[in-house]
Amino acid sequence: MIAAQRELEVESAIVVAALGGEGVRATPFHDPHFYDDNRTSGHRAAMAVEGGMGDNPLLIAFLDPFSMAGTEFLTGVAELAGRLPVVGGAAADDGAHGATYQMGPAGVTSRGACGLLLSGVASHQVYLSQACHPLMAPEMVTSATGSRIDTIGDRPAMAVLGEVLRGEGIMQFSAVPGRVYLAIPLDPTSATLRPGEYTARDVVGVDPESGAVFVADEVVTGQAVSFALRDGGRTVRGMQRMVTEAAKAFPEPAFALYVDCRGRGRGLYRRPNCDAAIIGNAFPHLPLAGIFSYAELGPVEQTNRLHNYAGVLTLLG
Amino acid sequence: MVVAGVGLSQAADSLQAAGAALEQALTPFAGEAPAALLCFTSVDRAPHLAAVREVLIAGSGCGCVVGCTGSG
Repeated sequence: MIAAQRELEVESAIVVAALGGEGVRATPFHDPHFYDDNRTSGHRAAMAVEGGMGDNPLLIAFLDPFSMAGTEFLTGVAELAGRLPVVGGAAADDGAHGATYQMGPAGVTSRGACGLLLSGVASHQVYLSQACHPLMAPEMVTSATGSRIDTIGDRPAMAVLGEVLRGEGIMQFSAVPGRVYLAIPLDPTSATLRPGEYTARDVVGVDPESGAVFVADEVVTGQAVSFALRDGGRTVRGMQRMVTEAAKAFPEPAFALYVDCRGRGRGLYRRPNCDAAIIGNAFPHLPLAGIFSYAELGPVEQTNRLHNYAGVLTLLG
Repeated sequence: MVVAGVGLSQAADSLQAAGAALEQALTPFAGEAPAALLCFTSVDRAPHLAAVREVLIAGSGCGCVVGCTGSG
């Protein structure tokens, strides 16, 4: 959990945020059957909150990660609610419990989706920080089968990976376990990787004999990809830029919701409270609440996206 | 303009923790009921979440209480 300027990554705690104000309305939703069909669950959420639509609507959603089928929930919401912005994320556990819990009008569920529609707020802004940083411009996969990439730009994929890692001063893939990713543009025709417009998949291994690279997802020939590194230093600088930009655009917010990937925090920065302190330094008296999550939701250029290794900061005023 | 407050408690008893966090969160409301409460807990609190939700509703007068477990 996250509250004030503290990040509680392993501690037992309860955080409560109270929201209100003149004209502010909240309409809850809670679907215990999220696991059954995420897209239909998105429809149910949109229908449940429809009557609460007002000025500056914002849907805050918390989903069970173990029942989540990609972006289907967001697709369902968009099919009925159009460009309604969605923030929030996937609930989490301690990494060992094997279940998450959602709380709402249906009580407490473990495979559900819940949240609320806020409307009548004067304004809201959403900011995104990513921890996986592309190391090269996207290049086309020229040979791939399943999760195996043989060539990128007609060169052995491992040679391309080795080249970009050496550019970072990293001589071997094995020297950075769990930190190398394949960044895939959400728009397969894109020749750039702008924040929020790519997804990161783990690079799980290499085959020095064939020069192939193995990824924790299916990759298709013709897809544009980049290698990316999960990097604490770059992420801190990115967070600082993001929060500085937020403070200029939104100098006096009344509340911040921060949904932060559990792959960040102390594991990324090697010190606690990093993101919360950056936010707190820019907004010293701002009530801040949030969670460490298994995935994060936030719009990018008016399209709702599912992010990973991200921090999504939502400011309300 | 949004009015908001946040409370945090690490009390071992989940119902006491919920009450303490709620009291802090309601400070800016001066007795008025908020429009919504968000509640985030560590997963070890799961057996008590239904009761935590009841504490929050009873203590705030707010029927819109949603939340989830986070890492911790």
